[in-house]
Amino acid sequence: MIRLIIFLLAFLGAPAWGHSISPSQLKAIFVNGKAMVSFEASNVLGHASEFEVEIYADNKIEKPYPGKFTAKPSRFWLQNDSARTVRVTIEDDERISKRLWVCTASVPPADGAALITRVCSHVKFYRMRRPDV
Amino acid sequence: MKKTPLAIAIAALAFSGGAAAESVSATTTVASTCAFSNTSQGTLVVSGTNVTTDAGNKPTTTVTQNDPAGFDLTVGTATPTFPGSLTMATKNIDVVKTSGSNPVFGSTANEGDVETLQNVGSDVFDFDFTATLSDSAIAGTYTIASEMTCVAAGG
Repeated sequence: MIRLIIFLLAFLGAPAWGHSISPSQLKAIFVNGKAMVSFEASNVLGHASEFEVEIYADNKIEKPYPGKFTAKPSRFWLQNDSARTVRVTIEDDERISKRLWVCTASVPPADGAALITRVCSHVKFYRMRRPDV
Repeated sequence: MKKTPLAIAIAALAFSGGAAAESVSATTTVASTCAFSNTSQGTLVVSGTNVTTDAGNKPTTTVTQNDPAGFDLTVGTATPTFPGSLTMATKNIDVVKTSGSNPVFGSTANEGDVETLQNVGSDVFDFDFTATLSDSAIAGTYTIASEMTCVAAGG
């Protein structure tokens, strides 16, 4: 019975293989013109793989975010069956709508028919209303 | 005087420890996740001015998600890297779903297509490139990189 419960819990959780980021929905508040989000990137592809952090302004992933941001790390290797936290700081920009998408993209080899896979979380922003002077 | 029976009832409930109303519950939240797996890079065949994927070794990937309508799947722009001054004169990319639980993209998808993954489960996709070069092929390394993205739907 316990084995059955463990099996079901494993099935209900995150996929046991692949590359993904979590959580899929993030919230951020701008404080002094900056907002920070963090997520966990994981690799259970069965082999080490390299990933790059990207930010997009649209859900079609066609418009890279035009403002400033820093990701630590911005490009990294993950061994198989490992995960790491990525922190992204986004500077306030009037071009930001109320949402962005932060992504990790696989870095493919440099020859042949290459395939880049990317997983993106949705970030919803809130701004602190400045007190009236 | 009429308040006495009510007071007795309240006192009785208090002494009973509220046992009649006790309940136990356990809850948890399963994270919404989309993942790519079994991704394999393919090989290209270059002949004259034609570039195609090797029919026996096409790029393929599997996308798995656990949140109905929680994710969109997009097919990105293909980017060529050719030797010398060669460019891509024409291109066609077909993304073919070979198996899976979502009725996405019909039989094939092309660059810029977006579909919502309505059903939980896995879908397997093959990528088929056909391109022509701006001039006859020269020696060097040829790459066509295509993209597939799983995007969390905006709330």
